[in-house]
Amino acid sequence: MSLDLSQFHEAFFAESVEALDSMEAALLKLDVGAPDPELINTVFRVAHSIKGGGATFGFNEITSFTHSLETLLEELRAQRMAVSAAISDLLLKSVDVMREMLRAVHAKQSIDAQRVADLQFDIELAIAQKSSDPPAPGSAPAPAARGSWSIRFRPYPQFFARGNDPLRMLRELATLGMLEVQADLSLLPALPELDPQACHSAWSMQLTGNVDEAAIREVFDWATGDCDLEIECLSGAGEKPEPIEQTRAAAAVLESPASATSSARSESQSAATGADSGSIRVSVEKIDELMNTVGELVITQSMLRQLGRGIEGAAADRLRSGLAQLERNVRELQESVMRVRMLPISFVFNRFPRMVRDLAQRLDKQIELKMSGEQTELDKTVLEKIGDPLMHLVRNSIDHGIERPALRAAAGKSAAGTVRLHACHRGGNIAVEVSDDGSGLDRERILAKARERGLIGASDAFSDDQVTELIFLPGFSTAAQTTDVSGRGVGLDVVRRNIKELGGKIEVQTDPGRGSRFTITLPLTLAIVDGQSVAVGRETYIVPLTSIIESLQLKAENVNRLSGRGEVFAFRGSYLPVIRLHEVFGVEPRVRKLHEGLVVVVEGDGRRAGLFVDDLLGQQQVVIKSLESNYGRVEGVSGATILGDGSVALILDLPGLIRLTALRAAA
Amino acid sequence: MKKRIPPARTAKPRRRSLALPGECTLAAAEGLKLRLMRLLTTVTAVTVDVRRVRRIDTASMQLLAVFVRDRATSGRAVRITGDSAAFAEACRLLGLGGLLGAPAAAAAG
Repeated sequence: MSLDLSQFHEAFFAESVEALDSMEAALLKLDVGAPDPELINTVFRVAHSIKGGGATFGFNEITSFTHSLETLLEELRAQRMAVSAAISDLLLKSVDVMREMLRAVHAKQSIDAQRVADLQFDIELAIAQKSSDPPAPGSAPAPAARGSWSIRFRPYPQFFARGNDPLRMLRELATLGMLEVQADLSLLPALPELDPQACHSAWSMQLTGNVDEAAIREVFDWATGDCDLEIECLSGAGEKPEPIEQTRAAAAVLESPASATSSARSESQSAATGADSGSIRVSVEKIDELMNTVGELVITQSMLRQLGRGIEGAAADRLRSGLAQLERNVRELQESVMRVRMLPISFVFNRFPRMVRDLAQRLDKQIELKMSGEQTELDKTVLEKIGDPLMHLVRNSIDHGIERPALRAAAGKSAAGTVRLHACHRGGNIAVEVSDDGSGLDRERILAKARERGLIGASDAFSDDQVTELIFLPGFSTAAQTTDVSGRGVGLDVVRRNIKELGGKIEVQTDPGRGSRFTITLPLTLAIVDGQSVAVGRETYIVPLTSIIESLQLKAENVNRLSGRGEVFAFRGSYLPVIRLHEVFGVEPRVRKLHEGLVVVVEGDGRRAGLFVDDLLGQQQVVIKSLESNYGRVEGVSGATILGDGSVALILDLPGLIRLTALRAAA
Repeated sequence: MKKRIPPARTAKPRRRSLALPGECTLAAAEGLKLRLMRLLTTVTAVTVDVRRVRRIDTASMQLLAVFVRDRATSGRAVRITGDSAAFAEACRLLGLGGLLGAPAAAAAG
């Protein structure tokens, strides 16, 4: 019987990618000169588990590369080599190369063999040169603990079922030196009670030879979390006993913060169900399916509520109280499912330390990145789309905001600039701030640049707020020269547009000479919207509440007709166009005269307009159903929802609608 | 290949024996346990023939160890016969040599 390993590929890729993230995080925390051994261990474990996985699944390039990497890490772990800046760079590059290899193998594409080989060569060169690069004097003495080791190994009962065999491990141990083994059968029940699949044996061993603790640990690396392991040095260098394996195994089981979680994750290959038993991996499709079903349930429930209203008689009260309870339960269920989709923003934030480090190096600036509120949760779909805009803002801050150290010193600031990332919940929204203590936005330079680009007239006067708005205009870029960092033609206008598409907004505050702060406000989820339902003829449309400014009834004398702009009406000192929804959607309305119906003043993409409708119906939360995936994209409509009576209502996309009618009016 | 007749049936009276298969793995452990159970209370000495063992894992070794131990506590003997390098190695590595008495011939192989 041969095992089909391909079913485990997905898990291997997913876990390896996560493991690489934790490896990268550990590397970034690694101090050159005085590295924390636990961090090196974390890095080592990641490389080791990827190597193991690669070997199991026959990804030979990955195995070969990680083998070299592991050798280098082994040298570092044993402190036979010092962690220099060059080594640290080499390790970070390895993360990139491994990521790329995993991506390529996953996508069944060919691996960039040259790049891999080059780096592998560099790694092997570094190992070969170690003799000429001895550890700095004064660093901690190498634990060259060779000699005799006492090892106590007690697998947990599920050990066999996880595909582990102690025999294999002891065989490997025996290759390291002289191995004496005593079996401990005291926990074995009598034969009739013995589950043949469960491991109840334990072993104590003495290993003598030219071997260090790391090598012993490596033998058991795949089984961490599935066994108790104590390794004690009996002789050699007179060290004190180090029963640290026990705590390591415990750390993998106990969910403890920071380093422990990252190390637990990196070991997840065999410990996936042991160490991480507090969580399970579920595919997004399953959650979306669940979400969908809950959405249907919400619709059914509101249908029942409408039916319940019309019922009279003795049982009606009981029915209605039952329905009220159903409504509460459904709402709770909906919220729970929504929470399942929520992920901490740290998933996005975690990419930044590496990026900031690389950028600072390239631009010759000193940057300190401070992050807070990483645990703030938001919907996965929002999370996926917020990464690029944030990346752009951070890049801008470093490239344009933070000055060079000399300039900063001249301005009386610390040489190292600070970029701050902060996330928090504000009402039903999430706010993400990117701020820096750099030079702030330069009003004059912005104005000059905007004039040069022909974005504004030569003599137009602007308030400070209006000036900062200019940087969001398409075609605007202030970098005096285009670097490869920012100013690649993708401007803040794209950032703003992306954020608008998510139903969010971006604002900027600046203090010349002291820095600037970009604040992005986003809805927590894209799946549900608070809507105002409006009636046009026999149709119902949903207007997102966030875009409504006011609803009013127009008087006939307030409406003017302008050539090229259609009908306009005066609203708070400016003239807004009237959008007759019945015309846009080709519906037969109940009223045609503006003063007989209602006008909903809305804002989309910074432009306002009045939607002419027959009537306002009510406000409710609606579950958004994608039109694009079920039918096709419709201009001016962002999606559809199913109402309580089972009918379908379109949800208006106001920026699109305003754009559309402006085009039609101009035509 | 000539089909092998289960030794339990062909054994001489008052002497029961069991031959281990070539592959003693986790998948076969349940079956091995049942066969050992049938011999557990046999009053006379039981022989376990390891000649055919090419591969054996800890789960099977654990079963054999319990079988031998449980019989020993009620004063009943188990004799291991035949030589198998795999079995001998497993005995040595798992520290079960004393209990299962790896056949001497295997040490050389």
